[in-house]
Amino acid sequence: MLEVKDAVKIFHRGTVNERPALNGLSLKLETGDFSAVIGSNGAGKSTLLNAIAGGISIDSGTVSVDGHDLTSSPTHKRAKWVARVFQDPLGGTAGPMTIEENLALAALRGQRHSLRLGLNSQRRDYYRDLLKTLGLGLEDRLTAKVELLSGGQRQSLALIMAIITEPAVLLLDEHCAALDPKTAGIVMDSTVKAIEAAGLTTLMVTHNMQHAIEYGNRLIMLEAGQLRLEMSGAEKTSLDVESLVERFHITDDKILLS
Amino acid sequence: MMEIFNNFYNLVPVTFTQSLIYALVAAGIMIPFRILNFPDLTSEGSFPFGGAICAALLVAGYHPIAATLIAVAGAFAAGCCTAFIHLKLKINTLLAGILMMTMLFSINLRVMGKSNVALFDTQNLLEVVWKNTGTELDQQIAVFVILVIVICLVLLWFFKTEIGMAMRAVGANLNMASAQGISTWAYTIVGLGIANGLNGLAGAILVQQQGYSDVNMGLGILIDGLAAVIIGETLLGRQAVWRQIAAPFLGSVVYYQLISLGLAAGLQPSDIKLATGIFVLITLGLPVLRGGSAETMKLRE
Ligand SMILES: Nc1ncnc2c1ncn2[C@@H]1O[C@H](COP(=O)(O)OP(=O)(O)O)[C@@H](O)[C@H]1O
Ligand SMILES: [Mg+2]
Repeated sequence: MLEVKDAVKIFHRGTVNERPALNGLSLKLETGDFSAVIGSNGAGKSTLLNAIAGGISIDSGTVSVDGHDLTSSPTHKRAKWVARVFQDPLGGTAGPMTIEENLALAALRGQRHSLRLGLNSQRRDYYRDLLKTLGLGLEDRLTAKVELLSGGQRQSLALIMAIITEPAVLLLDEHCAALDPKTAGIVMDSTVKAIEAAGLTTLMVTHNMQHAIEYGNRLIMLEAGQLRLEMSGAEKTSLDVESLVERFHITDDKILLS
Repeated sequence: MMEIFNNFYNLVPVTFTQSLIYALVAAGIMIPFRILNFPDLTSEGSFPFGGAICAALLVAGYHPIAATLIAVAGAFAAGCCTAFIHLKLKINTLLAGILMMTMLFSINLRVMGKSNVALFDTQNLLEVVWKNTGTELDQQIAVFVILVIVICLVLLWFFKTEIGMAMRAVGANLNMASAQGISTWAYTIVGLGIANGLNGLAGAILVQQQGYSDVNMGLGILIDGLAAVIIGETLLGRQAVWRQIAAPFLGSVVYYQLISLGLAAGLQPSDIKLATGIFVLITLGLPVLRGGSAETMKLRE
């Protein structure tokens, strides 16, 4: 369960560049909820995800996961509960390290690192099985450096890394936006399959209205750092793009176009 | 020509002995530069710091092993301080290293009490190993070869462990590392500690081998180490972790023989630093001049 209460974040407070990003935003996801997050540029979507993952600290309010108050924990301490896939395919993986090393580090998330060897044949077999589910042939390239992979392969790996520990909360910030449409489709398919298979509590930011409608059991829309509307269950199932646009009075070009 | 070769050839064993000690410094420079992505200049201070601590303790009657280990611990702490200055006070990595090495210069003088300490009648590590039989060159080489190989193997093992892999991730991608639950602070601090511990070990061993400690013995050591690292990388490549880790060791052995050859050929000792500097400049600058990117030196600010 994820709970954000009255989160406020104002960048450059008290200067001419003051930018309110979160304006007392509250949000609650039950365990297993899969929610799409939409909203125009600058609505505060990334800031919300950063506030949950620990990339930024909020000015006031609280963030808790499964009853643990994470508000003042640094990112690496939250990693035990929170996993994320960045928009930038370079962001979530260590390029100079191999595929298997990246997976080993992800699998150790939330555990104490030891002086045992990070890799062994048992772990490798496990990674191979996980990579097979992607259908990209990465299972035969365990010892290849990640920097040699394409954006789509790298993002797929980042996804596997994020879900390998079955995190209490999964955060996806437009994780397909930097990929070409075909690759984006493949990565999105694997994403949804993985989330549904493991029943992960997920927040997925997307600019793709079709994806927002099709995937997940909930939909929320942010505007000016606040929760503008939310939908769930049957109400969401009966939604189509036109009624969504009408219902949310979406006028933002970027949302309509994508 | 024959004479030049003879001069060089006669010095090969002596040079080899020295290059084994300096290989530890090269490794202590490679780790921050290549693995942690943290261009650390502390070595110019932590190397003589190790020497100063060791010399002072030997004069005070400490056992050589204790003196050496305390020297390593002191240099380890110096490395941790540089990392802390950067992380906590947000001071640029290069400046943090310069600050630390400048402060260490005064500290080294304090530790030794004067700028030069001779170690005539104190026992040293080599005499401990060889039970006070002389310290012939072949005995020195045997000790240093084993020591250097053991340290190289330990590093190879370490960077394959969970902790070592986490440290490499911190150097590769700070965001990724913290997203995987790795404390970028802790690993940067410990990583710089380990690197400078190696520098301190080299300093402690050198003063025992040469029989004196000098406050200026760190001068230019960073560029020497960097040159050794670059030579090693050119010979071995950097594709695999073992190559990256073995590079400073091989590179140091080759580099100091090249210097010796240059001296035999008539290069003035006072010109060595200029020659080394130009060599490092060329190897780092050539890819840029060729129109490539400055990939080799993309480092943390
Ligand atoms: N690091 C930052 N520094 C200053 N302002 C920021 C920063 N991150 C976001 N903002 C501002 O906060 C607001 C919300 O941004 P963001 O959360 O990135 O929106 P979204 O992801 O919905 O497009 C914007 O006005 C943006 O300019
Ligand atoms: Mg955003």
